[in-house]
This record gives sequence, C-alpha cells and structure tokens, in this order.
Amino acid sequence: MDFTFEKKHELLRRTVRDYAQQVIAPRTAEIEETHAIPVDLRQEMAELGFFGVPFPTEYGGAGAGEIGYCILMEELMQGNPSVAVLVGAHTSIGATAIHLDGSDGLKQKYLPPLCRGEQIAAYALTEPNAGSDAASITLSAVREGDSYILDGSKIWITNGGDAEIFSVFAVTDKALGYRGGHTAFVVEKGFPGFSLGTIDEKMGIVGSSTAELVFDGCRVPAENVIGQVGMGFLTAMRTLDHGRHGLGAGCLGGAQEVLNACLEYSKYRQQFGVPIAQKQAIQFMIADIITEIEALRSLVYRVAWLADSRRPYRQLGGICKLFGSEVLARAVDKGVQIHGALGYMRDYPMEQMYRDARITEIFEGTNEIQRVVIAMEAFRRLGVRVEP
Amino acid sequence: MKVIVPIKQVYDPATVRVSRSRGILDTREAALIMNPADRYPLEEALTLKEEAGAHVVAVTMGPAEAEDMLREALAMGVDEAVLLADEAFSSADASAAVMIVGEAINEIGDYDLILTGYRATGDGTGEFAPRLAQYLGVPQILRASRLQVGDGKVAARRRVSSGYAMWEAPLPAVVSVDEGANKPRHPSLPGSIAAYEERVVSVWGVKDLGMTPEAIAESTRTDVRNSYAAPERERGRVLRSEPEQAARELLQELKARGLIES
Repeated sequence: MDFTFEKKHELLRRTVRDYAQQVIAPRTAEIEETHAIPVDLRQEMAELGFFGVPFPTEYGGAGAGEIGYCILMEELMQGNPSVAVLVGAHTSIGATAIHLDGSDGLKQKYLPPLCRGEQIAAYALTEPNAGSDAASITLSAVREGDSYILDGSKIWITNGGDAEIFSVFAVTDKALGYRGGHTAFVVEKGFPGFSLGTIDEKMGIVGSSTAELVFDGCRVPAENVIGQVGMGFLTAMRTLDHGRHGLGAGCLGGAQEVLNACLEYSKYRQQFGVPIAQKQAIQFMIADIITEIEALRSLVYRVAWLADSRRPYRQLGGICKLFGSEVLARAVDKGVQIHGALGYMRDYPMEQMYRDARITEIFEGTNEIQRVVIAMEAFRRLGVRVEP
Repeated sequence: MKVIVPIKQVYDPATVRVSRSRGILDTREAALIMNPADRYPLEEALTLKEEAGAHVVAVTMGPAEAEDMLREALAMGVDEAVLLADEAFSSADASAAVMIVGEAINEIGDYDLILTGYRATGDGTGEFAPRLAQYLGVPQILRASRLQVGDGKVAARRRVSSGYAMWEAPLPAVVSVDEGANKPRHPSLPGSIAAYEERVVSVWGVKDLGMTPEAIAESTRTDVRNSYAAPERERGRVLRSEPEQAARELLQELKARGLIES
C-alpha cells in the first residue's frame, strides 16, 4: 500500500494551486458582485486546459484521470467555489455523460471542444416533479424521421446559462418508464426549439449559472442519442456515480480553506489578553475540523484511485459525497463560530464560505438519497431489495 | 533560432529556517522551487517560440531532484530539457558552474541567444550571466527588458539611474532578463501531465561534457571558511511617557551609557 501521489499529479497540483491562489481567488469580489465568471478568466482557464482534466489525451484532455480531477477540484474550490462548480458540473457530469456512453462519433465531435473549454457542458436531469425521484421525468422525445422532437422543460440546471452543450434525459417510451423508456441526448444550445427560461438567484455559488431549459419542439438528430435508446436512466445514474468523488474533493478543498482562515484568525484575534488560539474552546473546534479533513482526504483519493484502477467504487463514491458535504457543513459552521460576529459579516470571507457550502448537501443527489443508496447496496448484498 | 535558458532550482525562502545556534540555514523541510527570477527569461524565450518559432532548450546543473523543475519548464512549453547531474558537479562553485553550463551550451551548440535570470535566490550574487558571457566569448546585456530579436542582433532596454538606456548586441549573446520584464506564464494542465508521461529530460554527466572531475575541482576556487547567522539585534526600549519627560529619560539613559558627555 502506497499513499504517495505520483510526480505528474504533484506538478498538476502545484500548477492548479498557483493559478487558483494567484489568479482566480483575487477575482472573488468581482464574481460575487456580477454573479458571473469573468469571460477573460474562463478564456484563460480554457487555454490552460482546465476543462478536460480527467479525459484521455485523444480527445484533447489532460489524461490526468480521476486522481488528477480530484486534485483539480480540491484546489479550485480554494480559489473560488463558483469557478469550481463551473468546471465540476462541466467535467464530471456534463461531458462525462458523453464520454461514458456516447458513440465514437459523438465523442469525436463533442469532447475535443469541451476539453478545450471552447464550449461548456451541462447535465440536465432535474424537472419540477423529478428531483430525488429522477425516474419521474416527463420531458418527452418523439422520433420523427432522422430526428427526435423534445418537448418539456428542465429546471435548476447547473451551468445552464453558460453552457453550449447539454446532456439531456428524456422519455422516449412512457409505458416502459425508466426501465427502457428513458433516453439521453446531446443537445446544442443552437438547436431550433431550445431556449433558456428563468435564470435562478441563489443563496451561494452566485457566480455559477443555474437555469431553466425550455424545449419547445426542439429537433435533435437521432445520432445525438447517447448510448442506446431506452438506456438513458442508466446513463444518468452512471454519470452521477462518476461525479461524486469529485464533489467530495471540492468539499475537501472547501473545508481546508475554512481551516486556513480559522488558523489565521485565531492566531491574531486577542481576547482576555491572549490570542484565541490559546483557548481550548477554539482548539477543540479546530482539532475537529482537521480530523474530519484528514478522514475525508483519505476517502476522496481512495475512491479516485479505485476509479482510475478500474475497480468498483460506486458505493464509496456516494459515501464520499455524503461525508464530504457534511464535513464541509460542520467546518463552515465552526468557522463562522470561531470568527464570531466577523464570521457573520458580508465583508469577510467566512460568510460567503458558509453560503457557498450549503449546496453540496443538495445537488448531484441529495444527502438523503445518498443514504438510501448506501443502505440499498448494503441490503442488496444480503439479498434484500429496498426501494428508494 | 535556438534559445538556451539556464535555470536553477532553489529552496523556497518561505520554507527555509535559520538555525541561529548552528549558524546555518536549516533546509531539511524546505521545498525546492524554480528560481523565481528564472521565470522571466523562460517567458521571454517562450514568447520568441510563439512569435518567431524559436527552439527553446532549458538547462540546469543540480541534483537528480532538479529534474522536477525541468519537467515544469517542459509543461510551460520548452522544447528540450537538459539536466547536468554528476557527483563531480556537487561541490562546484560559481566559477566551476559557469564552466560546466558553458560546456553544456557548447555541446547543445548552434545557439542564437542565451537568456538567464538576473540573479538566484540564495547567494543572490547575480554573477552567472556576466561570467557565462565571458566564458563563451559572446556579448552580454544585463538586467534587460523589452527584448527585440532580429537581423542578427538583440536590442533591449536597461534601467539606468536617470531613466532607460537602449542596448544592442550581435547574436549570439547572453541576456539576463530583469525581474518584472514580462508576465511569466502558468504551465498548462495537460502539459503538466505530459511532462511526466511523454516528455524526456536528457541527463548529462562529466564525461558527456568531455570534462574531468579534476578540472572541475581545480576551477572551484571558493573556500568557505565559516558561516554564521547575523547577530540578533538587542530589543529596543520604548519610552512611553509624555514627550518632555521622555526626552529627559532619553538624555539620562544616553549619559548613563556614556554615549554622550554629561
């Protein structure tokens, strides 16, 4: 057993960290104010290859695997969470749906511009009546000649307003339902009948665009079906499975950022004539944050290693997302407490960290769904079938 | 056009501790990084690559670990990387280092321009570029910015006390690039992975350069007699009373110490 990173991954980490700290982090005030990622920043990140890290070099990716991708997410989250979410949703779910199950033709056509960051991807599954219950989607896709006609809408789509390419899940056979009746499609922003609906205002990650997608007789060529007709639900779930450790890695970076802020603040904030670092009440909170960060770090990179070595990681991926987001939640809660009133003030970073963290317990499968899936798997091994 | 950039691996000053008791720098936990001043000549060379199709070679003398710095240079876009590593190089001083790197540059050959940092973190003497130009017998421009290369010559701007001076030298030449002369680029992410997966670092030893350990030892003329930490300054005393009273106390103190006559 060897827990050291390979040299290539060490260099990747240093490269991303330098960029995140020196270039991305200083743009935070601007991102908070404009509720958008600056175009020039996205452009430069694209040129440096931030948008294709785990994908093979044959598609223009960095070929850094899931370990490399987790390093990217861990470091990006410390630069700016909205930027991390832009890259994360693009890479680990938007483009991954195409990479996992797309035909060679689809991969050749769509992955290179996505890896180069010339186009941004989004993953569109959620609908007003299909959140955790993703099998209940109703967006319909009807075959018409060489095309499918999509009608309906998707909501709360991360990267919605920024993306050019959407991995969309629709119903091709209502009677079969999710077992054979759902199909995944690649939809381009420019396809006739596609438009953006409401752009949502959020509690946190305000630089990340969350949008409603409207399909009004949207014509999609049949060759844009991802995988096989009827197998869309499987693609949707496999893609989400694939994204979970990356999300855990982002949470790891977020918690680390909270820890750094707390250490720095406790060092100089004086109360009762000494820095609060001297107070056990503060020490205990900091020790708890560190302990959970270290446990999470081991978990994140173990899952990434399993994925890269083509071993099963599905259940652990869910555990990683669940644990990671809750480690981050506990860290930001303690972080605000350590900073006192300053932690509650808009002008200081803790307040933003607190708001930005909250979504990680909700998106890419709520933590409740993660718990159900973890339990389902445990019972499945005993031959007991549990329905969500 | 071929541009050679000698670079150096140094300790990250933020991670070096000063051991006062032993009078040395404690580098046991120190991180190794590319000399920050070397990022400017690298950027200059990579710009020449983009704009004029220059072939860029990075070369460094150092221990095996220096390979990681060369891989970073490859990730930034250099075409070739050469590591000069040999037991015989380990005790080389500035004079011997110039001879070793100079011979490596002759071995690489056919160069038009040699771009260096203006100094290295560490001893910070800034003597490498002038010594190298002398060794190779080519002209030099030191601490230059706004380089223009073409028509068999290099022109550059140097800061002087009253403003700027423009200098020009025929190629081949050695130019040390000033701090802040450009905005050094970040390595690309695919480049960072490819630097280890696909790229090659050539490793040359004393024999590859047609040198002998004896010749290197002979040209090493620095003799370190002693190294010590600068003595810590005594902590000052702050007089906190009203100005008039404080002045009186100060006068008394100075007299008591015999620093002024009473």
